[in-house]
Amino acid sequence: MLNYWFYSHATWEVATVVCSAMVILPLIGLFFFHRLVPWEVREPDTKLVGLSYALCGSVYAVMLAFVAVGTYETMEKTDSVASEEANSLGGLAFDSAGLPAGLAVRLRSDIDKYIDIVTGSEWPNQRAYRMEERNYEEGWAQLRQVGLDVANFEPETQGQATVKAELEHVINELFSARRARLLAANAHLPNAVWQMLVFGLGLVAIYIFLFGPHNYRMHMAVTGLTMLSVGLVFTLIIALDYPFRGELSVSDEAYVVVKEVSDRAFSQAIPGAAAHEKKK
Amino acid sequence: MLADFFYNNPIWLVGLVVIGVWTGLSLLGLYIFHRLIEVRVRHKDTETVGLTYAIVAVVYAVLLAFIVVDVFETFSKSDEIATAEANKLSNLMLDSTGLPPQMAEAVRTDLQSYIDIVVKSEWPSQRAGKLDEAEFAPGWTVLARLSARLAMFEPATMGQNVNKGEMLHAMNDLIKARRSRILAAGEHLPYVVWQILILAGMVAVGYSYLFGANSFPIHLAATGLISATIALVFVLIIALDYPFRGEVSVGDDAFVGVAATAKAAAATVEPAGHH
Repeated sequence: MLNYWFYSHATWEVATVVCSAMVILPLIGLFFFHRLVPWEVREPDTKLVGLSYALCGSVYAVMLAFVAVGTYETMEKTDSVASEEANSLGGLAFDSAGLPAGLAVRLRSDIDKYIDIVTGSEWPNQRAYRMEERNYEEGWAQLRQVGLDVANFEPETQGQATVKAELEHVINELFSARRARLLAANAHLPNAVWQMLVFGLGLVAIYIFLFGPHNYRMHMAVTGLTMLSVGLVFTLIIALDYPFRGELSVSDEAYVVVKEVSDRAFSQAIPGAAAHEKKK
Repeated sequence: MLADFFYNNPIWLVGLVVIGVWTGLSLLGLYIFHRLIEVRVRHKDTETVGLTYAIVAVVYAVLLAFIVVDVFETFSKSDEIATAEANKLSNLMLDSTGLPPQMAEAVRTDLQSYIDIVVKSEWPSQRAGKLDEAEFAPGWTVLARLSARLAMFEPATMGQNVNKGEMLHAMNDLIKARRSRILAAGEHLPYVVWQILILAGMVAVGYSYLFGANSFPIHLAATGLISATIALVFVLIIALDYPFRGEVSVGDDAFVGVAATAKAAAATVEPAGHH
C-alpha cells in the first residue's frame, strides 16, 4: 500500500511527505520528552551524551549512506542487464543477413515483435510492479519462436552452418539476459533492512532528545535538521529502490534503439533487405 | 543549458563559478541568519550543536564520497567499453588475413571507414553532447554492411569457415561494445541524486549557522570552508559525469591506435598479397 503510493507519485511529492513526517514526528516526540524529563536533569550530562552520541550517530550515518550507495549501484547494474538483452537482440538482427532471405526476414520480424511486447506490455507491467508470470508469458512465447526459427533451420552450406552456430550462441545469451532482467525487476531492498533503518532512526532521535541545551528552540532546530538530513537520504533510497518502478527507473530506450537502428541500417546497407521488409 | 555551460568551458572556470556561487550563497545565508538570531542566543548551545552535527556531517560526507567514487568508476568503465570496441576492430583486421584477398580487402576498407566515422564524426558529437540517433547512423550503416558481408560470405575451405565463425563472433562483440558506448555517452548522475545532494548540502551548511562563535569572521571562515569543500566535490562530480563529454572525457586514442596499427600491418602484408 505504502509502496504503491511511493512509486505512483513524483519524487518531489514523496520527498515532501517523507521529510515532513520525519521532521514533525520527532519534534512531537521532543515536545513530550521535554515535558517528561526536565531540562535541569539533562543539562549537566550534555557533554557525556554528546560524546557517546558520536558512536551511535556515526554508525547509523555510515550504515545509511552505504545502503543508499548500494541501492544506487544495484540500479546501475540493472541498467546493464537490460542493455545486455537489447545488445543480444541487435546481434541477432545483424547476423540474420547470413540466412536465406525468407528466413532472415521472418527472424527480423519475430525480433521486432518481441521488442514490441517488451516495450509495449512488459515495461509498463514492470513499472507498475505487476510481476505475475502470466504478464510475461507472451514475451517468453515470442522468444521461443525466435529460438525455433533458428533451431529448425537446416543449413545447406558451411557458411550458413557457421551463422547458425553464432545465432544459437546469441539466442542463449538473450534467454539468460531476459531471465536476469525479470529477476532484477523483482529485486528490492529487503524489508529487514528497512526495519533496521527505521528502528536505528528511532534510537538516534531518542539520543538527540537526551541533550540539554539552554534554548528549547535550538533543541528543536538541531532535531529537525538532523531528521531532515536523514529524510532526504530515505527519499533517495526510495527513489532508487525497485529499479524498474516509478519516476526514476531503468528505461526501455535500448530496445527501441535496437529496432530503429537495425531496420534503418539494413535498409541503407543492403537494399535487398529493405525490399524484403517492404514486402512483409 | 547548465550542462552546456559545464561541458563547454574549461574545468577551472566551472570550478571557480561553482565554488564561488555555492560559497557566496552560504555566506550570504549566514549573514542573514546572524542578523535574525542573535549570537548570544546561540552561544550557550554551541557545544550541543557541535556534538549533534556528527550524524548530518557523516551521512553527507560518506554519501558524497561514495557518489564521487561511483562516478569515477563509471568513467573508468566507459573507458574500458571504448577500448573493448577498438580491440574488436583490431581482432577483425587481424582475422581478415585468413579470408580470400578480395573479401579481406573489402572487410578492411569497411573497418577503416568505420574507424574514420568514429574518430572524425562520432567522437566530436559525443564531446559536444549531440547524441541524436542521426549522429550515429553512418556508423551503423557501415557496420550493417560489414556484418552482412561476413554473414553472407561462403567459405571455400574449412580454414576460411573457422575464420568466418570467429569473425562473426567478434562482429557481435563489436556491435555490443558500440551500443554500450553510445548508451554510456548519454549516461549521467540522475537528477534526483543531484537534487538530494544539493538539498542535503544546504542542510549540512545550514546546520553550521547554529554555532554561536565568539568572532563572526571566524564563523564566516568556518562556514566558507565547509561550503568550499562541498563545492569542490561537486566540481569533481561534474567533471567526471557524462564520461564522453567535455574537457575531462574518454579519448579516442584506442581507435586512432587501431587505425595506425592496421596501416602498418597492411603495408607489411601487401607484398605477400601481390605475391
